Amino acid sequence: MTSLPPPLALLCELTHRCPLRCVYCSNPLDLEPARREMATREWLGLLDQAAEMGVLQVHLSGGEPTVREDLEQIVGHAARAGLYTNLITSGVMADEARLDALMEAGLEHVQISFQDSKAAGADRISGYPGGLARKLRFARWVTERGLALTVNAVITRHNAARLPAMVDLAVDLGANRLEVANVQYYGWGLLNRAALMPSRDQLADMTEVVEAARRRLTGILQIDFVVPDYYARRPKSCMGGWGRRFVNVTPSGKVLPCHAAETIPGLRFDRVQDRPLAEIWTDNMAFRRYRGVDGLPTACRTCPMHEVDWGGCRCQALALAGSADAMDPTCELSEHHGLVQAMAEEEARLSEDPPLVYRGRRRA
Amino acid sequence: MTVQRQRLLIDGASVPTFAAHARLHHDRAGQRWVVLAPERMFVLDEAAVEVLQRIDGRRSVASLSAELADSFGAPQAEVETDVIGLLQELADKMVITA
Ligand code: SF4
Ligand code: SF4
Repeated sequence: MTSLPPPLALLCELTHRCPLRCVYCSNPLDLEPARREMATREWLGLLDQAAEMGVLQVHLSGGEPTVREDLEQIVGHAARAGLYTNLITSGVMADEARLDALMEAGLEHVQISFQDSKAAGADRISGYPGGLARKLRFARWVTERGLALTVNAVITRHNAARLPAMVDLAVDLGANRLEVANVQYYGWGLLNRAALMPSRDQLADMTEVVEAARRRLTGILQIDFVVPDYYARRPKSCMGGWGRRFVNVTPSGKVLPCHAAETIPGLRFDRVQDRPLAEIWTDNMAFRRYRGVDGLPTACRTCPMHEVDWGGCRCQALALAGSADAMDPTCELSEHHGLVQAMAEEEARLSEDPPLVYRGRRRA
Repeated sequence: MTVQRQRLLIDGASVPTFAAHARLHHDRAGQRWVVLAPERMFVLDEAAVEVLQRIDGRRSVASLSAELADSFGAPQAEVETDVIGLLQELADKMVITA
């Protein structure tokens, strides 16, 4: 490898605090407490380093990033550094004045997650009664101000049938972009997988809805479709390849190749407070471990697809095949592929839903 | 701000501008020009950079095509077709409005 290009995007998990308790939340099961969150100046320093390295976009997420009172400061700093700033929020907390202040600071884009087009369904998945109405209100404030909005429609088997309504909702709100985001099974989502997994038929229906909507809404709404890759023949290109395009920083300053990387045993992560970001990016053992072709499972190294999907997802290989070094079993060339598909189908068929586990601090 | 509910069709008279959420950016590290947009980045070839650098929300497609044709010594009709093609693609990706 010649000199390593910098990451394109920095994902800042500013906090793990969140008023919602989504059963699919991709935050780790061990949520970091408020007292371990980085201080304002540490986040600002990180942004400077990222811009200096050549990072282009910053995603401010959480948890719920608007929990942090210094969000305006963080946005302003990122914008002044020339970074494209995106706020990923539940939209239930900030009021209009806060939104104005964030815009004033230079915010360029807002992404709001929707758990359903119906209040009862949304309440059930988010564990936050009344959330939908607040999200809708916040989304309107965003588009009324001419700020760009992405509606992130979180899909499970419970709301898959209401995808057309979710598309209408996005158009109605004046969103620029809709992410039809099937739940990815990490963190709390993995814990609740059997209660959320859609069926193969539902996936086929969704695909049709998305294709028709794309034809109808060209130039009106940009639609991205994140499929549940358990039914796919090839894995998704997770994070665009390990340590290639993204860097994720946890509330306490741990620098990760992806938000689930901490589930992989044996990886050691560096913290923003201890080592320069550029050095972590090139030299930290966790980034190096699975980076590039050399970091892939043997079968992937000789497969012509490896620069397309980068061998899928290491965390998924761990969750499904028992080792992060194994092939991602969502690839049909994996020996576990058949089992994984059968498991998904079986979970989707369960006549009675397993009880949902809501996200929250776990008691030891 | 009104919500755009119709596909924008670009022609010679269109006056293109960047959508509020998209901007042209010089990527120093990669030594290239890109358009930054939500969750997206478009890497531009030289021809696209020439076009997009001329977009200012005041000039029409015909006028910037004429200037491009002039500076590159190419037939204007051909240049305008290419410019319209590029901008239509970017309008469909919601990067350009008019
Ligand atoms: S997924 Fe739900 S619980 Fe998790 S951070 Fe987002 S809004 Fe909060
Ligand atoms: S073998 Fe590896 S590189 Fe090839 S398609 Fe499967 S996961 Fe991708």
